[in-house]
Amino acid sequence: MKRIRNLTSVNSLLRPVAAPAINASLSLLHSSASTVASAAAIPETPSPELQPQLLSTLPPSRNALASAKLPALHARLNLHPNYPIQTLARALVDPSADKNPRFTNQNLTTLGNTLTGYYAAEYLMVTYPRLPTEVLYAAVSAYVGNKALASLGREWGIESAFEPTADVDAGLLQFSRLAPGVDPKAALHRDPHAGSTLEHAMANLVRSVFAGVYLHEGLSATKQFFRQHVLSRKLDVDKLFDFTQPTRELSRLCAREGFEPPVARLLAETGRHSRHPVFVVGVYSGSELMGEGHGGSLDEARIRAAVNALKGWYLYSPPEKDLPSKTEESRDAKFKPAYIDPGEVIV
Amino acid sequence: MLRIHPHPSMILNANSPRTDHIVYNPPSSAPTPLITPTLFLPKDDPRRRLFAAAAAAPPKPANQLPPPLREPYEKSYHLTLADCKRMRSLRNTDPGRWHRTALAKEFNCSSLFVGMVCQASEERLAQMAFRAEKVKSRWGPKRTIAREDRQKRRAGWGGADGL
Repeated sequence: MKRIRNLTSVNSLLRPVAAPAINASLSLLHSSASTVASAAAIPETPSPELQPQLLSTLPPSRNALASAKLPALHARLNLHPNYPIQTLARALVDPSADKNPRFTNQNLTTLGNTLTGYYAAEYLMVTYPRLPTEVLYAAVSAYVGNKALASLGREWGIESAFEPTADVDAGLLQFSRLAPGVDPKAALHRDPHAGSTLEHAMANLVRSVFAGVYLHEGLSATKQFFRQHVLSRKLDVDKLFDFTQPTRELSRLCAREGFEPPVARLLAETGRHSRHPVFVVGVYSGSELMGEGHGGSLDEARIRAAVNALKGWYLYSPPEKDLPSKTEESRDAKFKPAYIDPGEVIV
Repeated sequence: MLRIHPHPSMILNANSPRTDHIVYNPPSSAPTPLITPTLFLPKDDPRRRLFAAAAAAPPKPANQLPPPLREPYEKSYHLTLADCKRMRSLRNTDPGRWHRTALAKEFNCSSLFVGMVCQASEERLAQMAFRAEKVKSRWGPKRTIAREDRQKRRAGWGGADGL
């Protein structure tokens, strides 16, 4: 990811509406905004249909400074003073709440989505280099998918307004809900301005906050934020696997890697005629144990042993884990390239 | 009263350490797949060297390993392309007589290999599926549910059941 050298791209995301007739309260808002926004010298003439209606005072839903919830959220997330309240307020407005993209979190969401997706994928690829592609996607989704980020937003204590009217508090998540019975995926795909689900809106809000951290606080702060909020969550990567023919796959793996063919051996059993028998089977390559599994029948134990052997292969984690984004912060950082393996077993 | 022998590390003899030392005696539990077996580590991983240094016993010879579930056998690759073609033609001409087991016996290979080489015609497959459906329709509720449960249980063994 390239460092942002100039601030033009930041401007396009955060530029407030510069209308020709500036009202007193509006000008107060602009002067108290961050230096970035005030650097937007040229007022843009918006297209006729998106011309915002000029009001004498800011409506409460767009008046960031009038809300008590926003500074509370800012403090709760431990954001730097450089991060303005106005960006937080903008992150709370879903595209379904406002037609004008200048007031919504659409662009922030795109940036935040790219960032979170990249950092999660990078971490998983370096920590588990042999992970199969499907499992990698599932793990990335478990860290930064809609469900995960929506629950993160809920943990941050963000509440949503029932309807995105002008009188709601600026510190509430504003989005218009879909009618009951509507298929959310189809509706969101068709028109994001028509309506959204709470999960989708909350996830986009979290992504927008991330984008704000990147834009206002910088790269190392973003990484720290990501580590503290996303990577600190527990994910059992070994529970994400689902093999269809594990014994066959293990046999192909041993043939590919040049190991001796797998042989299942009975390590322990409670007895063939036990009421609820337990068999412990280990899969050996020569005299080396690859995986161990237990089950109520010999078949079950053998299959589970093959599954555990395959998991032992795919969940290999190197001792030194250097993330590629380490080089973004300082060019002189010593970087050890990640382990790259031939790929998953083709049956 | 449960009478078990003490762990070897708890028995004092002439070779016991005289100073404070750590006794590693973990309870028996299922091993976790997050610990990679030494065989699966890449060649340049530093842990290979460390495990080799810490290895207590040499690897056991084959006759001292636990008994195999199925005796290992030598795979023979005696079937040629002509044999496979003949296998397919037999299957196509009379699938009733030349089923997988019969073909396996004729060509001295496994039924699995026969299944990889040739499949019965669509008509035959549909006929057998119809017969199976007729048998399954005569099952009572208990048998149907038991069969469905067994299918779900087997499908979960691949990792989907969270064990």
